[in-house]
Amino acid sequence: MGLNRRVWPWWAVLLGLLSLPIVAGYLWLVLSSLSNQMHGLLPTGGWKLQNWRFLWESVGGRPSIWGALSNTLIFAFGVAALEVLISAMTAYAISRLRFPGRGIYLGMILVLHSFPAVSLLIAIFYILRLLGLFDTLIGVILVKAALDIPLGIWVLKGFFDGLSWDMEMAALTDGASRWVIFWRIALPLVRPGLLALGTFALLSAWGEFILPYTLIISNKTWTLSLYLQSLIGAVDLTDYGLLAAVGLFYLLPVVVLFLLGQRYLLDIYGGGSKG
Amino acid sequence: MKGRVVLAILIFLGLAQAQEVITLQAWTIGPEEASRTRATNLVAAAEELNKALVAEKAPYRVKVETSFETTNWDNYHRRLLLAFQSNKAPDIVQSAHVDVGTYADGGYLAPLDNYINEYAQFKNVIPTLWNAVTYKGKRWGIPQDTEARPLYFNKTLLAKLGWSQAQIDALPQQIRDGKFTWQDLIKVGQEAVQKGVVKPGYAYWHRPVNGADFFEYYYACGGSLQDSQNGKLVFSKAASLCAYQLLADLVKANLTSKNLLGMSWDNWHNAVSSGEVLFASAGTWTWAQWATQYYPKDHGGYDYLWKNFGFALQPAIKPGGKPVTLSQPQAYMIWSGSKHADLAARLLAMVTQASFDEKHALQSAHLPVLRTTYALPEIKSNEFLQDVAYLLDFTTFQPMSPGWGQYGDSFFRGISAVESGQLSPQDAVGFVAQELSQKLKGDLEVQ
Repeated sequence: MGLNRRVWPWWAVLLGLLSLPIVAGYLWLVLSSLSNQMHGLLPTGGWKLQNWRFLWESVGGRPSIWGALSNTLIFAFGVAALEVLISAMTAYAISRLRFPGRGIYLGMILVLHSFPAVSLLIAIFYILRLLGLFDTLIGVILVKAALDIPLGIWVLKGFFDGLSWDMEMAALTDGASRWVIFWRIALPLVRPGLLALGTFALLSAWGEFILPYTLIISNKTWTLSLYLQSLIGAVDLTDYGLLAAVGLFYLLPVVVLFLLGQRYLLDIYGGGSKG
Repeated sequence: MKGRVVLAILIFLGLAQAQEVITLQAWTIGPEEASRTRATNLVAAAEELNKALVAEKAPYRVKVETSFETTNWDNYHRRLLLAFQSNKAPDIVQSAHVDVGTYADGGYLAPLDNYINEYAQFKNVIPTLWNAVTYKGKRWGIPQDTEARPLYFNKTLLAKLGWSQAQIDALPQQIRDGKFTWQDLIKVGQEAVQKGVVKPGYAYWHRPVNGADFFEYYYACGGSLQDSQNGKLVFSKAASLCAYQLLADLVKANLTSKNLLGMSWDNWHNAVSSGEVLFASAGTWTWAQWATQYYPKDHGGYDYLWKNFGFALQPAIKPGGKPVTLSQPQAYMIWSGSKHADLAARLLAMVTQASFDEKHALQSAHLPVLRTTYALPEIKSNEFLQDVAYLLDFTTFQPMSPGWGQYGDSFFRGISAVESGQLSPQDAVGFVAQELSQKLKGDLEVQ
């Protein structure tokens, strides 16, 4: 069913108008990161690159942005890798193996997902402290991944459920082990699901604020979201140009990732593969 | 053979070079940018300390890693508490003197009396400031700076109201003598609103968020906050009622906006410093903030401020009463779990020198803590620091007690309820008294 060619431009205009506020937000971000002062959406007082000085120097004694960037990359990719790996294994097991308590287990995973991270923060703090992982990136990666894995399991279970049994049966009769089947047959077939979940996890970890904010206290392990937050002072005039520039810097990798991964992201909502 | 000789020489050189570098962590906070010297002075002092270590031929050098918080106190305290709790606290912590009680009770601080007696630099600290860091008979901090909280008045707006230059110039003395009181201020404010010199609600502003300033009214009303005998916190119903009544009157008379609480500091500072507000209670350090960051920055800086603003004590409640101000000295403390407490103390002795004290005072408009600093020519010729020095004779402190944070929060909730019109001053006093009795139980005396 295609859209009528004559109606289509009107839809485009309508959608464009509806998106205008969002576009204006991004436009403001770009303009104010490059200009001296903003008056509404109009840059006044000329252009300046000074707002981007955080790229080559430390701003107000803060650690280098590159340190924060690499921490964020480690954090986001660490979370995504853990989440995809563990979710895939669990989802496969739930989808394919019969074991006692499977139904309850599945239900409990769903319950786990319903806990907002904030309500667990204090307990998480005590656990991390006990393990000596407080104020470390590894600690936050484990927490973030653990909180997101339930959703990942459910998403990937849908993909595994959609796979046909025949191929696995054939492999089983040929003498392949469960592990080989999982690794060599099932996983490649749900590749779109893995990529979608990976992208999703990456984006979610990239934007994560409350966990690093609570569980990281030394500025050496700062992520970009903490760096950004440190720019919003309570008593001093906030340097909005700088804030916009850092915000844009924080945003760019996400936009790139989204453009590359949006095809897979849509798969999450579309369900399993139909191969 | 040749190779071995070279290797031996290399090893020898390597050993000679291998100097142990001890890294000290220090956390500091402004939160205003102008107070960054709290961190940078430590780094500079470490350089001096290293020179001394070279001269002593000590086998180690010191390196200071600082962090300087510019967000807000809540954020800083949260980080600090988590750090203390997880044994990852920095060696040196800078915080307000009121925190000494809580942190010392928690076992997070090292007592410093031995060090204070060991290093001569500490003898120059103004004696009363040691009281501000003494808790349960021990000294837990080294005073870093102090301040006072003046009432700023806009000279240009007063002139618009018809005040003569002589009248304006005499105002600080009038307040000091208890002749210009809060009642007079309300009259002047009402007149300013009526004549359109300021917008309604713009005649008097206090700070827009919770903080120590609000106890200035309580102190002016004759209240006391701590029993000096048993250390219990004190809640005086009469003084609280008087303070709440004053704030209610200010809102009712249209001097203070109902929506003042909750305003952002950015808006607050810009409105006051650009001349929209007639009277405002703030801190001595606000002077430097205004000159370097807000409206005055692009309009002449300090010259603009001198032309447009004057400062005085917070007025007395009634004629003949006592005007007040409040100080919250900052202090460097040493974490009880620090592996290098001795070295940290030596660094603090190094930073407690007139040159560093002076630099911080000039840059941040806080007041120096060393007697020797006041004798330096730059401080002597600094008009602002000289002019506000007398405020310290009228100053008050907040009590040091682990329950103080809760006390302050409850007291502020009362203010917020009164100003928004949710509670009458009488009801607010009852509400706060009840809440405090429940929270602090035996640690509180209600008078």
